[in-house]
Amino acid sequence: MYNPTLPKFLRSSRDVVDFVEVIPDMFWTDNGESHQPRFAELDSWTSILRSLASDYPLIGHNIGLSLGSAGDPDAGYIDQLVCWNRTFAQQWHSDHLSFVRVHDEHGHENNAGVAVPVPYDIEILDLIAARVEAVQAAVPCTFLIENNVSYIDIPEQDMTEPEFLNALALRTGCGLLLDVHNVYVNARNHGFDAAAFVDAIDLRRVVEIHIAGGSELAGMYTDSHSGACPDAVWELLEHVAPRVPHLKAITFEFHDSYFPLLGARGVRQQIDRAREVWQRSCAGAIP
Amino acid sequence: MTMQQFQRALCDMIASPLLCRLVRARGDETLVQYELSPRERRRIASVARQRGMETCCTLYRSNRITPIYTLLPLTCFLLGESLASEVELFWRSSRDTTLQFQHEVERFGRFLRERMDTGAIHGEYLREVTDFEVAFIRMSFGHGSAPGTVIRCDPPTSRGDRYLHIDPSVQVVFFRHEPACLLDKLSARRRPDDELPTGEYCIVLARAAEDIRVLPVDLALGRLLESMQRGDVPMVHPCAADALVLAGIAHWSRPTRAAGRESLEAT
Repeated sequence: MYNPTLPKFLRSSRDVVDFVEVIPDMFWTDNGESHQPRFAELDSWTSILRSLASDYPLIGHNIGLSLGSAGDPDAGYIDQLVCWNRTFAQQWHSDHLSFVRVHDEHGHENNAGVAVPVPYDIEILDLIAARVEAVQAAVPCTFLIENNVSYIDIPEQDMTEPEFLNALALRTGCGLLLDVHNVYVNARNHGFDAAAFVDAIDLRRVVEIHIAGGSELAGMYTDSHSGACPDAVWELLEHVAPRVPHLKAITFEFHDSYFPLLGARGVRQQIDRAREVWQRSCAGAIP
Repeated sequence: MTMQQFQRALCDMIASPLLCRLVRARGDETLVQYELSPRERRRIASVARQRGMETCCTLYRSNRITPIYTLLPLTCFLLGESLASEVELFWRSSRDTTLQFQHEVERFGRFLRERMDTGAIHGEYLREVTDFEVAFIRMSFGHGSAPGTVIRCDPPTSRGDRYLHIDPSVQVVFFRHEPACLLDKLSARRRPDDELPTGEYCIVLARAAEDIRVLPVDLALGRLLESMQRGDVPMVHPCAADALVLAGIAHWSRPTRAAGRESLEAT
């Protein structure tokens, strides 16, 4: 996953990295729905990306679609996705099973400050499915939904998260982005079996896997992307990779502030290890 | 409608540990401001009691302080122990956040200036340093599509130049202490001593390819530039125009129309 510490590493690591995944929202300022133009691209950042795009296939991983937000869908944001995809010809793109846009008591739109999980209810499934279909109709490349990381446990839900993801994928035809670190975080904090969780997902829908490291905060283990993947994440990757028949990418995520700790060598080790798991999984694929 | 209210209640709690504690303590009484179904009410009451809610509150605050701490490091250094209470006040004064880094930083800069204007906070160097850092961020996040500003030079120069193009992203900052000394010391995380030269100083931030140049300029030139950007100066004397071009802040242009402010063809 691209972050601002990586251009130098990427230019010198053509043999290590097969693709670059970017968060498009990092490359523009969203001035809000009432402003024209709403999106202003950061010229200095996009010029770096244009240069990388000539060397690597790009994948988009958005954080601003806010699929789970109540209220009207964000048509302007979808228009921006169309423009971005036209410019950078992404292999595929993705966003999260959560919401970040919320309206205050005066109807003003705010950012929630964190990605807030949605309850896995029929009503939310209908809402998100319609939005996924709108994205698919507008942007001519495969769209994936990423499983949640959640520090709270919303009671009385209609479905489990795997049931919700499977139903969403079945109804819309979208793919899934399986973040195994998210699964590990939730399993560790909420006390469930991570392997059983991934086994409950329709892995034929999974196109991409995310791996990452995390850290303790306020009494919970968090998805902070703070360096190397823990052993449990590697074990979960070993478990799931042979079971994903259409896997196209494994992406290592880390926060740029941890690059001095990881170093280029550390990043390379994580990518090499992920590649080894994938190669072993191809040899021993489980139908 | 209740889904929207449920999401608002959840986000309000994430933004306010105090609200979480109130919901825990008083439940229904606190939630009366939200139009919730019985199931949504039970859900909010449940998550308010969960340990993970504290993590969400901490993450929210971490995410909101990140742009401020990352992009206004010298301002934060000068605020010192007041930083925590000032950001708390800032967040309480306005939940209106987009979490767009540029907007968040500019709003915090405005908030601090208002606090300084009313005398609520005081710092020997705070105003000029905050102005400088906010201007730098405005430059860094500058977007290339803004039209240029055209000023007429009257009379034309002896070479016949008449129209001056000023980069709209140029930022002017005034200091009461010698800027280079002040910023050098703060960058090394040292508080400036009393020996720092004082007076009236001006610097201009201007774009140069991928970089941002910081140029000390004559005070009068800085004031002129500031007035031009506000649209208060329809024309300048050739001497001032030459000085702006020499400083690399402006260049001579040929306008496509003969009005005061219009699109340009750079010469």
